[in-house]
Amino acid sequence: MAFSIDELRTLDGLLRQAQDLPAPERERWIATLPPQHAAFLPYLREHLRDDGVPGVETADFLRTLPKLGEGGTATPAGQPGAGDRVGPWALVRPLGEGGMGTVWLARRADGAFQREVALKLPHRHLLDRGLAERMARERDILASLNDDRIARLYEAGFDADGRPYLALEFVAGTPIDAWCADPAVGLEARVALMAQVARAVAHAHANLVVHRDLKPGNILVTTGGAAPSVKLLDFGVAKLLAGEGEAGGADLTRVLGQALTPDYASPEQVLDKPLTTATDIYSLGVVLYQVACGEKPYMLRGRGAQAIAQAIVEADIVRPSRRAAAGVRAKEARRMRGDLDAIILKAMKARPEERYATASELADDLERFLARRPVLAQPDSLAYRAGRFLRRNALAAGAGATVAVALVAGTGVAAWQARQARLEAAKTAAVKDFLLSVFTAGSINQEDASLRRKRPIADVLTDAAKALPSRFDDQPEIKDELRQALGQLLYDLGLTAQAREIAEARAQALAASGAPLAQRMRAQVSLAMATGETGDMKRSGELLDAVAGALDGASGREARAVLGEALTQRAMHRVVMTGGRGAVEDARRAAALLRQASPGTEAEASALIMLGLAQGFGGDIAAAQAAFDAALPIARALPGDAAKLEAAIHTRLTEVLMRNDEWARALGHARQALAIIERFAGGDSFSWARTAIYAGLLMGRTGESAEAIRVLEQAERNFARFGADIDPEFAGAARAFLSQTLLDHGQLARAREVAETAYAPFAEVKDVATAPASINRGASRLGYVLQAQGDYARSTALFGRARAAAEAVGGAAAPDVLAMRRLIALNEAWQGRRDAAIAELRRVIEADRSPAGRLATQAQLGRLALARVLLDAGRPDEAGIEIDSVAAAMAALPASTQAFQAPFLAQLEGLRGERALQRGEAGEAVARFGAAVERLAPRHHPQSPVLASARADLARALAASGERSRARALADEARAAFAAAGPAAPHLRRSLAAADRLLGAR
Amino acid sequence: MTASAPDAPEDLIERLRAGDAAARDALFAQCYPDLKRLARARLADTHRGPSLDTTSLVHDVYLKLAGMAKLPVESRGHFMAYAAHAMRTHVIDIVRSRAAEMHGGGAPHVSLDTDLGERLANDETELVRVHEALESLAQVDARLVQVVEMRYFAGFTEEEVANALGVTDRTVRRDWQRARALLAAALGR
Repeated sequence: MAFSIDELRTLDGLLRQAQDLPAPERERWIATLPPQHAAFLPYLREHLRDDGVPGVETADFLRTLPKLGEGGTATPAGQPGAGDRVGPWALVRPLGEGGMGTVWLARRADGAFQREVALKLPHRHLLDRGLAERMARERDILASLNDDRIARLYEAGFDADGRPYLALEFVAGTPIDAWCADPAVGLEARVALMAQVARAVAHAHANLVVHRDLKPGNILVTTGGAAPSVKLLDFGVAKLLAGEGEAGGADLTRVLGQALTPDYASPEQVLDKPLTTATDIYSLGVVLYQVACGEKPYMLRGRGAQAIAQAIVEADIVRPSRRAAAGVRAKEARRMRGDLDAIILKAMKARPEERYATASELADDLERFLARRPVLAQPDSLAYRAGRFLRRNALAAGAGATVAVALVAGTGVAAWQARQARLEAAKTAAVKDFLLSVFTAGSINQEDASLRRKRPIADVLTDAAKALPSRFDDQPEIKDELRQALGQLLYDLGLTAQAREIAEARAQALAASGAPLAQRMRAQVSLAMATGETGDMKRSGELLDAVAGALDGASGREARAVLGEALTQRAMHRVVMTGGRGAVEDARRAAALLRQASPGTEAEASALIMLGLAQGFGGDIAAAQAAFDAALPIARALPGDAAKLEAAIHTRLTEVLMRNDEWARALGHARQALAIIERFAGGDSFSWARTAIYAGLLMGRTGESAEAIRVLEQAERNFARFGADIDPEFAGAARAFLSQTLLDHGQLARAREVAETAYAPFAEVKDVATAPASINRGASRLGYVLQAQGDYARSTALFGRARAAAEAVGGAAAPDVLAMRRLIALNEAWQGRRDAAIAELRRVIEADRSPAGRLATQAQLGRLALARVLLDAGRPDEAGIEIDSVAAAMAALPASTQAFQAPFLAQLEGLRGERALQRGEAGEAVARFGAAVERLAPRHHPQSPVLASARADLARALAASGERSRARALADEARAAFAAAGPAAPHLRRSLAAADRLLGAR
Repeated sequence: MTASAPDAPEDLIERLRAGDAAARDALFAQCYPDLKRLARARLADTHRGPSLDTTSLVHDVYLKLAGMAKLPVESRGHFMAYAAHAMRTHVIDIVRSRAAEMHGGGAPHVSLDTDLGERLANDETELVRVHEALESLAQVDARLVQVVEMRYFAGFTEEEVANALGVTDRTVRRDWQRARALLAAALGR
């Protein structure tokens, strides 16, 4: 924003005055305005020019609304006729016509392809500029659907006139509703057909293709083989025509006109919300309803769009068995009642997350129904709904705590812990009743009830955990179910000790009862997770090792799924505890196992995310990116929390890219994550702030320091809102980066204030090992600010404390330890003890164990520091050796990486300049110092002391080469900056003093 | 669904006759889907002049409503302002949801392109920035916001804006001038 509100008010006042003047007098009036209005003049001149002539505007600004290229042009197309050629196809006879276009039976004109195809010719008005691109991209995906029950898409292309066509497998069949209307076709046969349909849809979903327009007309029954079989038409065609930016259902209706009948549309389609696989499941439910009882669930004909939407969204659907009892299928009503009712109503739930999670689950349940086995779908009840309510609220309360722990562990456990936050779909009524009883116990009147409503959910669950041991002793399975549910809830709420206790009891009970191996091991994985959360990482690792050992080579699907989940957890454990050794192998195995055993689930997505994280931390960004890319579509297809998992993937990518110095790409992903989080949780949320820490850090590094300060201040505010409910680590991290950015911005006093606040809670902590990461960061950050302010003694004390904390975690050779030693040595040098500093810096360089090929390692930073001290000591030749060594390492790196190492490069150029100056090469010094200033200027505020010091350096070089007036101007700029920034350290100011001496003191 | 839903048009009209302003707003809100379509059409329109079609369509929507509800004459201006505001809201929704999709928000299946993030078109950015700058403008002079909504987002003519707001054409012209200058300043243009 260029002007404040007050300034805009001032401008408004001036505009009004100007408008009151006759046009010819305005310019004169403008010229008399006092200088403080100078910034307003262009606006006064530009925007008042065209008055007096109604409807004429000279300026382009805001003249028209930009066009966003939606929809298309409505040029009528010539009608195709029999015998016409469309691309390589010759039209034989029309098969049908709809709102979407016409369909022709066609065959290859050149005879290259014997079979007849159904050629779809979309109406021109459906087309837009993006169609060609989409067709090219999606044709391959659609063509890859290789399932006998799905009609193939052979070709999608454009003929010579630019007319698009889709060549699809021609199917001679009967629409499923017509086929099933035959009274001779029994219920079992009809349901068996629908099970086939669900399997076909599952296949398409597994290939990431959603139908979005499932209806009887697109589901044909053919009788070519021994038994009737189904054939699904037009998979993905709706999407192809509707386009990328129009995921919403109402768009689809708009684009396809009458073609998309609302009869089979899902609520989210009608409400114009993003569509997922759950949409197809809903439509399958509607078709199933109709096929089962012979009638549609609701009648929509002849109603307005608004009424249709409302009917679909709110429809309280009559159970199919009841409708059947009153209609032609009355004899089958009894067989439908109960399970088939439940299956159909579950598929048709208004909320996508309450439907079957996958089409396979629907098919499974239909097959169970046919085999007369119990089905997964459960009828609604009060207890059931209360259970859901409880779970939803537990989730909301739990997300913060889990994420908090994740960041403390130093990594992103959150991604798949969000997955853990949902309980499994099937729960027995007893479990729900128990939870409900805990929730409502003691409510005998309104007052009690109102008090109870205010009870924290954590208290309720703690009570439940206490009550459980004495209950259900004669029903071990129900008790196990309850333990699992409660353990999960407690875990999600961050009540880790209680979660661990209950998980322990559960694992023991299962072992004693001789439960199946997979079930026991799944309980043990939960126990390992709860154990890890209590901080006992060693025991957690042992438990996971035991699971991996017990299930190694297991062949059951369930066992392999559990093994996959255990390996995902162990990979995380390894990243945290051993710096990632073995993590990639574990995660890769986990992903492979889960891909087979439970594809398309959160477990699979989590394994892939873990794989990406492990590979990224091992430095293989391309592999990491590939793993995250593979996780993304799975995450997006998941019901409910897809956006969260997606944001988590972007955040993980940010972490990985940051760790590998890819600042720009990391920032891109951080921004994407923020955008998603802002949408689903809001800009004032905890999640937003958590990711904003990264974004702020990256913005600071890529030079957007004003934006970085804004983002980090917002993050700090968000964290403050949560107070003691979250780990203070978060606010600490936000403050640390904020302090750094403020320092770069030349706001020394504010930087110090923030750093002091961040460090205050740790100033009195005696044993650094109790909070090593926080102490390290808080102390070092404050040390930096004090160093810049020249308080070397206190700065050294703080760096010393940071060093002790770093050493407690990573040992004597840890990078942070070496960094602190370097900073302390510099403080020493600036207090006059140069020889000691030089000796220490040589030891630091020697001790670094960083891999070659990375920038800004401790060895390289040590060499820069050493060069600096040597130059201060007047030993340019020795300094030159260090400078050349760093420059050589730098030159070996790709330019894209160098670009984001501006401070490092600036330092290097500055040292080269100093060396040149001491050698008497004033011209070279001007060039080098100039380059340093150029590197620093975009990243630093004009009043940054570091930039001011660099300007003073350049001034000295200019003075030495005789350019005294330029030198003087730069020295003045530096002086003004120091004056504005507040007291800065002698080592930053002395270059200016030297410049002043050269220029003759003023 | 029940027949006695509180927002049934008949009830609203009764309440409106009794002088209930909230009823008027609720009645207008029933036109929101139509206005949404208009906003969409306006963004998509590449050939036709921006003001003519949109305004006549807004009038149609209004007439439909007025015929049904026998609205008092002064409601027309309110409706025009409401329509313009609704269109602004929806235009921004469209732009934001497109931006969100480019950032990987929507489009659950097929076509994964992680680098779409940077591709938010300039036009769309400008729309959102104008939208945001209107918050500042509201603090300087609230009527200017209405003028911008009617002229820029809804595409009404000066005359129509003047009728709706009950001021002269000249006032609208001057307001529009000031609004553009202030927005340009607020956006640093």
